[in-house]
Amino acid sequence: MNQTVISVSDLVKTYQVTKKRPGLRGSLVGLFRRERETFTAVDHISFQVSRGEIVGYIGPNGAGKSTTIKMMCGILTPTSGSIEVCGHSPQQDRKQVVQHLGVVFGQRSQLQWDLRLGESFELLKRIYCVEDSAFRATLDRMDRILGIRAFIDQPVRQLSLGQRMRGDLAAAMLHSPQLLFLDEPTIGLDVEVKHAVRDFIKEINAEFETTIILTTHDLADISELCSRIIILSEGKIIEDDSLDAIIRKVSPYRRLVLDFASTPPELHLDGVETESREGNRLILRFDRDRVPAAKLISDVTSRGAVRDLRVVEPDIEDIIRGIYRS
Amino acid sequence: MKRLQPYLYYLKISAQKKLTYRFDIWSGLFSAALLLFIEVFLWRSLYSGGGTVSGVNLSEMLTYLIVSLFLRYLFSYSVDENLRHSIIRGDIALDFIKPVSIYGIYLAQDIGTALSGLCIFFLPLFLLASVAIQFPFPAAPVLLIPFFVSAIFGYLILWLLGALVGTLNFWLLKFGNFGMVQQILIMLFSGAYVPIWFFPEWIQRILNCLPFVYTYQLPIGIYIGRYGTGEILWGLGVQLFWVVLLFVLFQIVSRRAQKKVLVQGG
Repeated sequence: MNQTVISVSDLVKTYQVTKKRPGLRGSLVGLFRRERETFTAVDHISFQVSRGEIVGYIGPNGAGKSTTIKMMCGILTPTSGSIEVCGHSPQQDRKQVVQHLGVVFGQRSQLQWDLRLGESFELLKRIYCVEDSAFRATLDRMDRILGIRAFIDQPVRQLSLGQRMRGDLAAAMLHSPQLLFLDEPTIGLDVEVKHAVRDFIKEINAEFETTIILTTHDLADISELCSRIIILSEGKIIEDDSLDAIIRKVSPYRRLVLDFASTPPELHLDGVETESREGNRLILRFDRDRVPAAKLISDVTSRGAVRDLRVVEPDIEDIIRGIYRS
Repeated sequence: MKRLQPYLYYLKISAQKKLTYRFDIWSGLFSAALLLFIEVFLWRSLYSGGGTVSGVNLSEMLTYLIVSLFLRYLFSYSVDENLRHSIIRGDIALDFIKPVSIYGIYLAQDIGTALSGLCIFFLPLFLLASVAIQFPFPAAPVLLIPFFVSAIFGYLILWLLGALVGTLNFWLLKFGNFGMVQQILIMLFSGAYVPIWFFPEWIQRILNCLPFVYTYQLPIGIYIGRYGTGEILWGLGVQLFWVVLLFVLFQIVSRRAQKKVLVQGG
C-alpha cells in the first residue's frame, strides 16, 4: 500500500514583521511610525508522505517546522503553494481534514485544566462523534500502552508533566486519526516517560498504520523512530532521506580509536586520515565505503602492538549540527 | 442533535468549572450583596427628598437595581477575554484543530457560565433582596414577556460586541486591551449601574444611537414599567437591528481573522 496522505507542493509562507526600535526613544518613535519587513518562514518546499510512514521533521529553532505543521492543520494560511491532507485542502475543508487528524503540541495541552482527565476525553468523544464502543476500545488500548487509567480521575492541573503528556497523546488518538502530528512530544520529559512515548508511537504506527509526523530536538527520538527525515533550515528543505542515507551522504566517515603499547607508528593508508595523536592513543578517520573496517584493523595491528581498539560511528548530533550550519 | 452534542458538553463543562472553586462562589456572593447594599443606600439617600426623578420613584429605582444585579450574572460573558488569552498564548491553535465551530464553543461556554452563575447566585441574592430591600415585582406581570425577549436580545448584542472585540485582537493585540475599553463603555453607558435617563439630554441622544442602552436599560426599563407599548416595540426593533448589524460585522471580521491567523509562540 502506497497511499499518499500528505502532499505539499511549492509551499511558501511569509510574515510581515514590525521592526522594533531599541530603547525608550525607539519605543516612542514606534508609536507613530513603524517599519515593516517581510520574513519568509517557509520557502518553496515540496514533499509527500505515504500512509504508515514515520517522518522526522527537524531543523533548528525558527526553521519553519511549526509553521509548516500549522499550515497542514489549517491553522495558518499559506502565502502560496498547495497542501493536501487526506485528500482535502486544510484551508478550504478545515473540518474534514481535522476529523482525520490528531495533533499533540508538547508545549500546550488540549486537556481541560480544571476538570478530570476523563472529562476531557468525554468532550473529545462528542467533538469527533466517536461511538461508545469504539471510544471504550480506544481507551482500553491507550490504557495498555500509556497506563492512563491510573490518573484518569484526577484533575488535569494536578497531573505531572509526564502524566499530562500521556493524557494528551491518548486524547489525540481517541478518534483514531489516520495522521498524527507530534510537535516536540518528549520535551521536558524524564527518561522513563520518553520511552513510554516512543513505545506509544511505535505501537500505534504498527497497529493502525497511523502516519506520523514528528518534530523534535531530541535526536534519540529520530534515530529510534523515524524511517525518514526531512531537515529544514531557514525555510528550505535541505535533506529528505532516511537517517542512514543522510549519515552516509554527509558524514561517510567512521573513526577507529587505537591504544598502542608504545608510541603509535606513522601510517599512510589510502582513504584514511589521522585525526589525532596523543600519547599512545591514535584516532583514525576512514571512509566507510572505500575502506572496510576489518582490513584497516588488520593493516594497523600488523604495524604496531595494539592493546585496545574500537570503531566509532559518527555522532548523529554532530552530523545534524553540521547540516544546520552548512 | 448529534452536531449539537459537543457544544452542550462544553456548556456543561464550563458550568461545572464555575462550581470548582468554592472560595470564588462565597466571595462572589459576598461582594455582590455588598455592592447591592451600597447602591441601595446611595439611591435611598439621593431619593431622601421623596417624589420622582425623571419619572421614576424610589421603589421603581430599587427594583431596577435588583433586576440589574441579576442581569449582570445572566449577561456575564468572557468571549473577548477568552479569545484574547487564546491568541496571546497561542492556544487558539488547539481550537482550530477541532472539527467544530470555534465561536460556537465560546458561546456554549459563556452560556454555561452564565447559567451556573445565575443558579448559584440567583436564589440567595433574590431572598436577601426581597427580605432586606423589597420584593422586585414587575410593573405588570404581562411585562415579563417583553422583558425576557428584550433581555435575550440584550445578551446577543453584548455577546456579539464581545466576540467582535475579541476577534479584533488578531490585529490589535499589540495596541493593548480593547476588552477593557469595551467593559468600561458598557458599565457607563448601558444603564447597568446608573440609568442614562439621569444624564443630560444631549448625552442621552447620543447614547440612544449606540448599542449599549439596549443591553441593560431597555429590558430593566420594560420591567419597571417605564415604557409604553409603542416604545417597547420600537425598542425591540432597534435591538433586533443591532443584533443583525453586529452579526454581519462579526461574520465579516471573523472570516478575515481566519485568513490572517497568526499563532503566537512557537
